[in-house]
Amino acid sequence: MRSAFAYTPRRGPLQVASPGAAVAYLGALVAVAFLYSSPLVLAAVGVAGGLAGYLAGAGRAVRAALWLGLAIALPIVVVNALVVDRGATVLARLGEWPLFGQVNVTAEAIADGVVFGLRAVVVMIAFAVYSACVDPDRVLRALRPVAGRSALTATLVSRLVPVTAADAGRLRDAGRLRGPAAAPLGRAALLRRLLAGSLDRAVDAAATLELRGYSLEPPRHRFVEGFSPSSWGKSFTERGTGGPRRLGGTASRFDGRFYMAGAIVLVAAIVAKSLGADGFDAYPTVELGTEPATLALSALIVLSGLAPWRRHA
Amino acid sequence: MPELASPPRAAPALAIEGLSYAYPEARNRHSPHQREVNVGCALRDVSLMLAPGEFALLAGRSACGKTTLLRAACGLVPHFHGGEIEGSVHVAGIDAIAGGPGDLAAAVGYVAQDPEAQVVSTTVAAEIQLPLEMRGEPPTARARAVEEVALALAIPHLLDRTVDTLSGGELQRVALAAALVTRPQLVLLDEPTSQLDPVAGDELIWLLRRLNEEWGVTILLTEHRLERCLAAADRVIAMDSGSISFDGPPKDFLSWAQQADVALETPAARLFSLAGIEPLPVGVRDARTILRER
Repeated sequence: MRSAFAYTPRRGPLQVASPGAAVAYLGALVAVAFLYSSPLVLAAVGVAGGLAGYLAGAGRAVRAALWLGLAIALPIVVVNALVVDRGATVLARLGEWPLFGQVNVTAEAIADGVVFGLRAVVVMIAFAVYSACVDPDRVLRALRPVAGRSALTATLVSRLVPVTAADAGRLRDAGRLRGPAAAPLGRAALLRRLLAGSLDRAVDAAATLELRGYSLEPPRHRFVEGFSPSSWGKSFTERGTGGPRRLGGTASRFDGRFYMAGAIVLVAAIVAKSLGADGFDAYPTVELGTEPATLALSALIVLSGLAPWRRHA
Repeated sequence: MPELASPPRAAPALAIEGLSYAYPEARNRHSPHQREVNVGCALRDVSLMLAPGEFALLAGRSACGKTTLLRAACGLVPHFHGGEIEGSVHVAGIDAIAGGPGDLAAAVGYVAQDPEAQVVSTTVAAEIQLPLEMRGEPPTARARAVEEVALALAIPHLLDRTVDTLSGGELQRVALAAALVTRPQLVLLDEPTSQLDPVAGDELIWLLRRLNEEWGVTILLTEHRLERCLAAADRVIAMDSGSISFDGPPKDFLSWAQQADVALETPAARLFSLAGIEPLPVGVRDARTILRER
């Protein structure tokens, strides 16, 4: 079964847009998630990312990211509640714990943990939409001339998502086939094997890229030389099929929309922050600001989620 | 008196001279004294030359150094895996040890054992044209090259598919197409039929033979199921513990395997030798001819 996060070619605006435009928009959402602590703004970023994902046809990726994000957020909330004893509203006094000392669970520590968890969820959603909607081949082409190592890393990560999912499926099947008497394959063991396997996979993929000529000088200004062994005649270029061309993704008519959406979100977030938005304090008591700037920014961010919308014929 | 101009001689597709190699982890496992006496080497003093257009089969038991030899021939050893190396490797006149996989990319294609691990693009067309893209070929040339190689490998219908929807056999063909699209002089294949059913495996071997004959590409192939490809090979090179233990034509290889390493005998050859029938057959057609002539 295909991973929910695997890139699926579609004709939607987010998939058709150049990787730079898609990254500009999704990156702006992630930047706002790190810039703000207000749950309202964070929730708006999550809604915008989810909406963009659904409109781009990546609903499955958004749902998977939501579940995965919640699985990450829950321990964050629990750990924060146990290790932080600041806050005026004590909900439970759990006494002396080894290493932790006196453990008091406060409503403020839980609220603070929720904010951290929410941030993890919305970042997961943005990355899920990126993974499912942005063609890694185009990322490689666009980035290689300017940042070879980053392009390689992005390609390896994108490639490893479906391969690791397939490996997980095979390991689970192998565990089931051991029979009912065998010890079940635990999540930790599965994760450990997947991690070890993914490192091997990454090495294989990097070796393949190397063999395909990845380390050659990026072809922006290079005329093709030595393409043909003598037994194969002349190179395609020498055969008269045209000169060298700049590589990288071609621009799309949707690029402007995503660049614009990203820029508006980012500029609005910075302006709103300077105007005193982001009113949230967890300690000593939870204070959630609902000033107009925060509400307006949240609404704007949610609206930006409509960027991938396309009027159907 | 003017000297007679001698015709230019093509460089060997692969020339290996006195090659010894040890992976870094193997070296670390042994004491300094053991290192001096060549312990832990994956390859030991290997010398080998492949002429342009040869179809050679690399045989041997597991862990005898076949894959390491292929990696050395495409520059992954030592450039990618590290370790200590001695000797020389030249591919189509290019020094593989001084250069590296990138420098060899035009001259050598490599198809690894696991097709899933050697696919890096999203769609089949993107995967096949990637090596050309790396070299800066213009789009028209790339499209033409992809079409040519797809037709040769009978995969034009796969070009628009995403790679994660392909079967193992289809993936193997796509990997082969990506290795062939730059039209290298030498193609190295590491057990390419290991994940294929018998019919697809036979088809792949004879496809390689056809490409070898029609395109003149030199092929060095490792395989455990020798009965599948002995008949297609011009030459068999057997390895044992990192060294070459046999190098000759397939018929001589069967006689040698009968004496030196029965694990490398093909089932048909074993059957013939048990029945006391000579000579030993390299393939089904050969077996039929021998039996008919008796």
